[in-house]
This record gives sequence, structure tokens and C-alpha cells, in this order.
Amino acid sequence: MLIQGYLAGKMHARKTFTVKSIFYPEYSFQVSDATMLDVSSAIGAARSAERLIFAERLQRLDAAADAFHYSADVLEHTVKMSGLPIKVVRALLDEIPGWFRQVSQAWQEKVKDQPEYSGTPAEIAAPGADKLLQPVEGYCYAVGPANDPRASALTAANCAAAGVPLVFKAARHDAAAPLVFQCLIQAGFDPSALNLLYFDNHAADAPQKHHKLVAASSLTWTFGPVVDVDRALRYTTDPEHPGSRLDLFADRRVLRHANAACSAVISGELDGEMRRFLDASLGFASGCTATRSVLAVRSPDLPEQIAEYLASLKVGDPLQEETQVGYILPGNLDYLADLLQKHALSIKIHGGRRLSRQQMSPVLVTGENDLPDFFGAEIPAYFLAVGQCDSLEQAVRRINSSNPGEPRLAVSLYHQPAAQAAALAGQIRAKTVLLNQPTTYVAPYLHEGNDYREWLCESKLIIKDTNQPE
Amino acid sequence: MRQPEDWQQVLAVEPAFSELADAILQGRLVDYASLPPECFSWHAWDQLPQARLFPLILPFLRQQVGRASRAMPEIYAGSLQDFANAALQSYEDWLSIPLLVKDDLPEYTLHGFRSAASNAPSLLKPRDCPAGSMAFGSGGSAGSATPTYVTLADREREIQGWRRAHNYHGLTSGDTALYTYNTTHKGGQWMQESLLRHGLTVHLRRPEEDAVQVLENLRRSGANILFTVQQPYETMQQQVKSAGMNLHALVMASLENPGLRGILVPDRQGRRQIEFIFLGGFAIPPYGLELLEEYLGSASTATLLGSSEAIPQAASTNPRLTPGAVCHYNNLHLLQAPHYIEVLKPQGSRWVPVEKGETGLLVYSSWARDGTIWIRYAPGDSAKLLLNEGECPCGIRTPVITDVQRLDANQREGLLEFGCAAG
Repeated sequence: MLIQGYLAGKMHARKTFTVKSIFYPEYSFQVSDATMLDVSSAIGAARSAERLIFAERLQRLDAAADAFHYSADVLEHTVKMSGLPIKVVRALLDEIPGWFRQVSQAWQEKVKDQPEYSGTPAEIAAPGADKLLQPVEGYCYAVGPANDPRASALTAANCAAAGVPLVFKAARHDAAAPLVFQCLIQAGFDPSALNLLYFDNHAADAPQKHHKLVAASSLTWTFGPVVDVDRALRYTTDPEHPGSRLDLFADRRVLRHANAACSAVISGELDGEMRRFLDASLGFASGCTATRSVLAVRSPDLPEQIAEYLASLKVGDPLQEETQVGYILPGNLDYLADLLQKHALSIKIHGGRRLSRQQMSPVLVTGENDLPDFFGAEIPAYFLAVGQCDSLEQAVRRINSSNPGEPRLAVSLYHQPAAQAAALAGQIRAKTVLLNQPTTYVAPYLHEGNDYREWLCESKLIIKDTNQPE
Repeated sequence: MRQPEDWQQVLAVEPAFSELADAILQGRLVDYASLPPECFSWHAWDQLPQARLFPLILPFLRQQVGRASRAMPEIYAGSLQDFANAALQSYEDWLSIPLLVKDDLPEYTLHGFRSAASNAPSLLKPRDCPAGSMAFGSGGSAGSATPTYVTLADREREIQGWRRAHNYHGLTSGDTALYTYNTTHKGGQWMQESLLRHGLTVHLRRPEEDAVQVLENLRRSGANILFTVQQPYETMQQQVKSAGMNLHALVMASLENPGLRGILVPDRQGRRQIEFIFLGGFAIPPYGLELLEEYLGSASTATLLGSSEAIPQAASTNPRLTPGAVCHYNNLHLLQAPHYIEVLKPQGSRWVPVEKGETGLLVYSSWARDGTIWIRYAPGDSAKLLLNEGECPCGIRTPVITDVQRLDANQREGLLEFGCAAG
């Protein structure tokens, strides 16, 4: 397989590098390796891209949703590179068209195309005042994550809807990204506005490429832990003052990844509906929206039931349709194993049998205390920490207190009293609160807790006539 | 720029050359200093077969051998004595003159002059040098390189000689050139002056100007010719300094700034202001050709081989003017005035020209030079003889060489880092 980028609408692979699967050692493929001049071309293309008017952008986004498709090769490739079970990968890829439509719909619901503003979306901010949303000048440089095949769709759909040209540096094994860009271009977006690059992060000139793209952009969109992102993208040497560093993020907008560590509050018995809820919450184990901790409210039997449920999951080769527990990066399993050992005296462990370098039976951990290592952290594996609470209020307090850093990306309230859940939702330190939906259902227009409809745009207030906003 | 239909003009032998040749052959002109400097700009030098060229320059070679023997004894150490006293009468005699080398070549029992010259660089200035001179270090400003001394008159001859290459590249009076070369080096200075002599309007790049500013200057000046460099890709990546201004940087700036398209990188309609790119350095590297093909719409380019010791040595032609010719890019016609250029191999005690297809040492002899006299000096470069004289379809008669390389890879890097290529 050859994975190629897109430069101003043309696929390119002047040079390539080889990538191998950690999980399937015999599997390898070629990826186009963008040169410094390819990076320059992408910058130039993004700077000269045509910006469609609002209504056209949403129409074409809907058309792209209809056009998106992927092959069996791409499906198998993604399984081999992610270690995720094939059913999970298929479900993730099948979500992409829906994400395009959700983004388009979200824009339509929030803002209106008002002809008097020449195709600029506007919402009524207050009586007599309209808020125009104008795409930021320049372009957005986004660095895609390695753990989610939908990432390019998330980023490209939002930038396309906003009218912001994009240069997307995909993870080297991301085979879905070219398909996303292809369907958007075929739907009629200016190819210059949608540039897809691949380059080897381990190459000596990778930092130069990143820094050039960041420095020339007006908006940088990153995924991944802040420390890692800062190390790769943020700081560069100052040519004027050798030995000093420049903060490339200082003068530009940066969309950053929130703390994942998603959590759920659930009540009741483990019935079929809850099983499906847990399947959806945990199945995408390496994704940042997977639920990592559960607080059971007034449900003393639930932890054991969940442990049994996890033990019943089919562990096997991700390429097999029946497999429910796939492969995980060996380093992550090593980290989990060390963590379990470290806290062995404080917790009760269910499962966690190491089956190979890259596979472990699902782990459930219970304990008296809300250990931050388990209740406040993102552990990218088939892992769940479960605690007990007497009330939803107590659960909310524990969710907040066990995560003192950045707010969680998402928290789910499942089978909680509707009025009480709604009232407490605002107190939960999380970017998104889902009611009776798994944390993996975070909306693509608000995935990082930032409303992309606002983040990708500059706002301008138009105050009309003598009707002043109150 | 010259048009293809005017190419024949550069192949014509100038009438004044014939008069000059008669004066030389009849013994009325025996001192190179009497040669009018502008004669070195005449194409006739490159239209003579070897059999006619050598007798013309022989009196001056003889003159220089005599001078070198007397005025640079430490450098030539008696090696020219046998030839200094009227023993140099024919080409066969010439082939017996030993090579001069800077560093020892024990395989050929040749001893170099580096040690002597490093201790006392002025040994390279002839004692009878008639005028003030300037010293240019070979291999760039790396410091300990040995100097070549040149006078104003030497400069004028070489500048005029370079003009022949300008003609082969299609440059004409009225063109406008911008160059990014390092003008603290001989190549950069000579380039500037030869362009002026040729009637061009010349703009230079200030050291503090970045690629965007250079492109803007190109636009403002209306330049249709660009003189710049391009190092091999690997070298460019390693050497921040030398990558400061080169074709890659200019292409990069053009790609990133849509407003600067149409100057060097064609705009969306395929238009480009720059008609010709001179790519200097040591040779046009593969990466340079790659840039031209992939980003510059296969813009016309050519080069000239020269060094602090001798300018010009060889040049390729503008492919637009000589379609179907062999002498493009790094295939170079020898330019035999004011220096005599040879590609030699050992044959017994002699050094003789290589056969077609063979590689040998690049050797030059400065037959019209007040300053440092090079007599069969092999600086450490090699070249391959690609075509014999008269075989190139372009019509220039001199042989074509290719694959010019510095035998010492370290020296090659030094040239790119510190030399005129470090624009």
C-alpha cells in the first residue's frame, strides 16, 4: 500500500519512507515523505486558497458525506496499524460521513446565511445586534493523532465549514485521511484549501517542517498530551539569538487537546442496554474518548457485574470479526502493569492477564480511594477503574476532585434522574457532559470542548440602527 | 536575451582575430601584455582546432614558462629550467613539461608546493609582477588556502574571457541580471564586472536580504537573469551558512508566497519573469536540476567552471539556444583563453591528453597573466573528456568535458561552505 498526501488537489509521493506495523511485523507499507519544498507548496497553496461563501461550504460538506467511501484494504490496514478490532474500526470509519453532516448541521443551527452580509454566517447575539463569524485569516496547521482514524475528518470538516484553509499533517499510518480529502475536493472545495502532508517524525528535518508550518499559520490545532506537543511543535531555536528559543505559540491561536480521562456515572443492573453502553464506551480502547473510570451510584453489585462483563469479552486477533478486545501498544501495557503493581495493596484487580507483548485481558480495578493514577488519568488500554457512590452529587464531587488538572474531555451520566443530571451537568469539570450517551459520542464540532464554530472564526458585531443590545 | 536564430553569431570568427593571429604567427606580437584585453571576449578562441590554437598561444606559453622559472623559483624548483631556454618549440615539447601540484602525489612522484607557500604565500607572486596585485585564496576564504595573485590587467582579461560564456548563455546588452553571489570572492567580483562589461544592468544582493527580499528586488528591477548557486541537497542541509541564499531558498520563498509567483516560479498562467538562471558553484548538482525541472518549468540554465586560480576554464551553453547539443548543464566546452585548459593522464614521464571517454586531471596554464603564473597546474580536480573537438552539434569547436570533481571530497565541502557558493 502507498499512502499519499494531497498538495493543492494533486496526490504526490516524490519520496517515500517505509512504515511497519508493531502488531503485525510482516506488514509494511510506503508513505509519501513531504520535502521542505512540499511544505512550502502547501503553505503557498493554503495562502492562496479560494474561500467559498457560507451556504456553498455547507452544501459541499453534505455532498462530501455522500461521497466518502473506503475499501477493504483501508479497513484491514487500519486494523493492522491500530490493533483495534475490525468491527470497531469499521464503525469508526462509518462514522465519518455522519460527522460531516453533523458539522454542517451544527453550523446551520447556530448561524444563518444572511444575504445582507454576503454569505457570511451570522447569529443574533442580542436584539439589534448580529454577530458575524468570519474565518480567521491565513490557514490552520493541524497535526493529526496516531490513535483515531476519524481525526482528519474531524479537522477537515470543521475547517471546511468554517472556510479556513487547512494543512493537515497526518499520522504516518493514517490511510483514511487521503479519502477524506479526496471526497471534500471532489465535492467542490478549492483543492488549495485542503492540503494533506505526511512526513517522517523521526527524520532529522521533521522539526524544521513542523516549525515552518506553525510559524506560517495563524492557527495551530494539535492532538496529544501538552508536553509532547510542546516538545515537537512549540519551541524552535531563535536564529537571532543562538542558544535561545522562540515560542511559536506565543502569537497565534492554538487548539489543544483536553485532558481525556473520560468518566461515566451509571446506576442500575448490567442489562442488555447497559452492555451496549459499555461496548460503546470501552470498545475504542486506544481512543481519547473511551471511558476510563466509572462511578456506580447506589449499585453495589455493578462493579462485579462489570468485571464479569469484561471477562466475557472475546480476546483475539483484531482481524477476526468476533474479536472484541484487540491489541494495545506494548509500552502502554507495560505502563499499566507497572501501575497495577505499584498500587497492588490499595486495589482489587480483576483480569489483567498479560497474554502477549501487545495483548492483555481487560482490567477492572476497584478500591476504597479515588487514586488519581486510575480515576484521573487516561490509560489507553482495555481498562476501567470503578468506584461506588451514594448519590449523583457525591459522584460529581469525586469526578471533579480526582482530576485537579485540566477538565476531562467528556463525562457521561447514564440512567441518572433527568432533572438532577441536568442541574449538576454544569458543575462537572468536563468539556462535554453526555446524558445517557457514551463518552465516545462526543460531537465532532465540539470535540475538544471548544466550539469550533467560534474557534475557527473571528467575531464581528454588527449593531443595527438605534436598537442597542441590552 | 539572444534568440536561437541568432546563435550563429557567436560562432563567427571575428575579423580582428584573424589580424591578431597573423601578428602572433609572424612574430610581431610576442608579449601577452600587448594583447588587447577585449580580444579575450572573441569567440574565435573557441572555434580554433587544437592544431591552430596551440601555435598561437605557444609564444606566450614560452614567455610564461621563462617568467615562472625566473620569477617563481621556489614554486617551480627548477622543473621548468629545461624548457625556459627556448626549448619549448612544439606541442610535443609542451607535453613533457611536468605538472605542478599543491599536495604531493607520490604515485606520480610529484611534490607539492603547499608547504612552501603556506609558510610564505608571497612566493606565489612572481618577482617581476609589473603592477599591484590582489591575492585570492583558492577554495574560498577558508584561510590557509594558497593565494593566486592577479593584477588589474589580469582581471580585465579574465572578465573579458567570461564574456564569451555570457554569449554562450545568451546574455546580451540590455538584459538585467541580479546575482546572489558572495562578492568577497573572486568569482563574485568577476561575475559583477563581466556582466557590466557585457552591457547588462546589474543588481546585487546585500548580505542581509532574505529570499523574499531578493524576489521582490528581482521584480522591482525587472531582472530577466538570475545568477545564484545550488549546493547538493545533503550539503545544504548540513551547512546552515551556505544554505543562506541559493536556488532552493528562492524557490521555497516563491512557493510560500503566492504574491511572488511569476518571478522565478511560474504563476498559474505559466508566466515567469526570469529567462535564464546561471547556477554556479562547482557543478550543477542533481538537486539543482531537480528544482529546475519540478518547480521552475525547466527554466534555461547553464554554468561556468572557474576558480580563483583561473577564470574561465569551461562553460556549458544555454539549452534554449542549442537544442540537440551535448554541451548542456554539466557538459562543458573548454575555454582556452586566457588560460590553456587540459585534461591529462600520465604516459611514461609525460602528461598527455586523455582519450574520449577517459578521466584525467584538470590542468591549467595561465598564458596571459601578470600575477601568479600557473604552468600545467593540477589543483586537484578531475574531469572526463566527453567529446573531442568539433564533435558538439552546437558548433563551438572546443572539446567537451564532464563530471568535473574535486579529488579531495573535503575540499569540495569547503568550497560550498566558504566559497563563492556561500551566498
